Amino acid sequence: MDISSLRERAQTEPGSVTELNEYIKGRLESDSRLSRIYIRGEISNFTRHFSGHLYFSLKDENSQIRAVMFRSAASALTFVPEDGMKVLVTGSVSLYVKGGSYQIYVTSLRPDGLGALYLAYERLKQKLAAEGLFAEERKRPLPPFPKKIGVITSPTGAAIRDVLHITGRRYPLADIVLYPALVQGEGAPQSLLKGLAYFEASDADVVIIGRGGGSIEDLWAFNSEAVARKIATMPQPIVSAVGHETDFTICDFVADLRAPTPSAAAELCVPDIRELLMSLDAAAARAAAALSHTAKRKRERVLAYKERLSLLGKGRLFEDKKQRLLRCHEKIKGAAKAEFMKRHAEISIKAEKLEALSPLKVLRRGYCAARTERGALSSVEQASVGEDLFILVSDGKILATVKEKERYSDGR
Amino acid sequence: MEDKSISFEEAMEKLDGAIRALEGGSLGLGAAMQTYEQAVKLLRFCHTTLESAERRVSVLLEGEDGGMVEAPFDTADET
Repeated sequence: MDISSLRERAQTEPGSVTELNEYIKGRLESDSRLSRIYIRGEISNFTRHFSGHLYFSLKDENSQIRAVMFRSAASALTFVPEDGMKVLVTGSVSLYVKGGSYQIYVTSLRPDGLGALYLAYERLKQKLAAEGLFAEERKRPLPPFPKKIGVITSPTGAAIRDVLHITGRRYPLADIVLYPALVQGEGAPQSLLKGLAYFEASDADVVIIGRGGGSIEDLWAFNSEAVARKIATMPQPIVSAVGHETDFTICDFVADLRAPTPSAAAELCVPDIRELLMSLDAAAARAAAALSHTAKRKRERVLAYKERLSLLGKGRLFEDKKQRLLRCHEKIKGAAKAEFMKRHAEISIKAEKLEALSPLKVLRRGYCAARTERGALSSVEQASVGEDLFILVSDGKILATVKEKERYSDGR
Repeated sequence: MEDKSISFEEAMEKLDGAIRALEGGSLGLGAAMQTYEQAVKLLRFCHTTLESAERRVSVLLEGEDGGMVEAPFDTADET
């Protein structure tokens, strides 16, 4: 359409609003100075539509312009935009025919300045941490002997050379598959995402994602939220190796292992073949030592049995019996002694009783007994006057003569 | 090894198990001899695998159908 036709028609027949807007849209899009613009501004009226498209305004002290960022471009964002944020915008200007408003169609959005960049990084880090994406328990161990290692990095950078060199020297058993990715600039996050998507469906048993050192802006693709989320869902462990030791990216936090450099990542991913060969030698020595130890112990046991058998043969058995007999004998002796003692005690008691009854005991209490040559006296009839009597006392006998005798009348 | 399809990792694991069993000392002499023989075979397999290792290094290129295809990746720096 050209403006003269609209003007001519205006004098005869009116044109439509749509025609006008379509015309303006065409004019805007045909202006090469509006097709790839780069401006700085502050975000306001930010809305995220459920479709994934982002709508907002960009403003400075004096002016503002509406902006839209479609989902495809928004998926590569390395931060969470919000009102008041200073940003750098790349895009082109066109007109939204239905609304009659011109706006920037944003293809890339970055925080403006290191401060803003850092703030955006911190916000995303906090958000993902709160979701548990960095949790220790999510981290998986690397396979001890990987068969295939996927690498997502630039095919021309130092990172791939380092990885190939170190894995080749340390562990030439593992195949290496490189996904040549854009690691900086516009399109880098999408490129990294594609690489991850490729290895997600591959048989690589570990994936290294990274790049060599660069400025914080150069490393920024590794702070992409979409890349971080993709890493979190990968079936195999991911090792991130971005920049130098002091560089930390969101990728590093979400990966199963963060390596300080690509070289370090390569070292962490594979064992060292020289160490493996040494450990095989050690294993061989251990196996041999263990076997000879087992054999030695068995031999010792056999010898010990033999020793015992020969002892038995040399009268050990007899010794045992003798010991048992002796023990029996001792027991019997002991029992007999006990019995003897018991009996002895009984006898003593009886003896004492007997003694208590004996005449001597009576004599000791002051009584005495008299007898003639014929025998003991128990009646006056048994002795005659003038006859000699012996009087027995406790310690001897007295000779006496009977002078007279009297019989008690009651016969006692 | 009777099983040729065993991976290096499996062989290393089995080797470790065999040595542990031997060092455990609870095996009878016959079983110990057998385990030792197995360990020796595993050792030989691991050695051979390590010494005959030859890796492939490839780069992914976009194929005609839009899918990715592996192609050999040559770097002069690789040693």
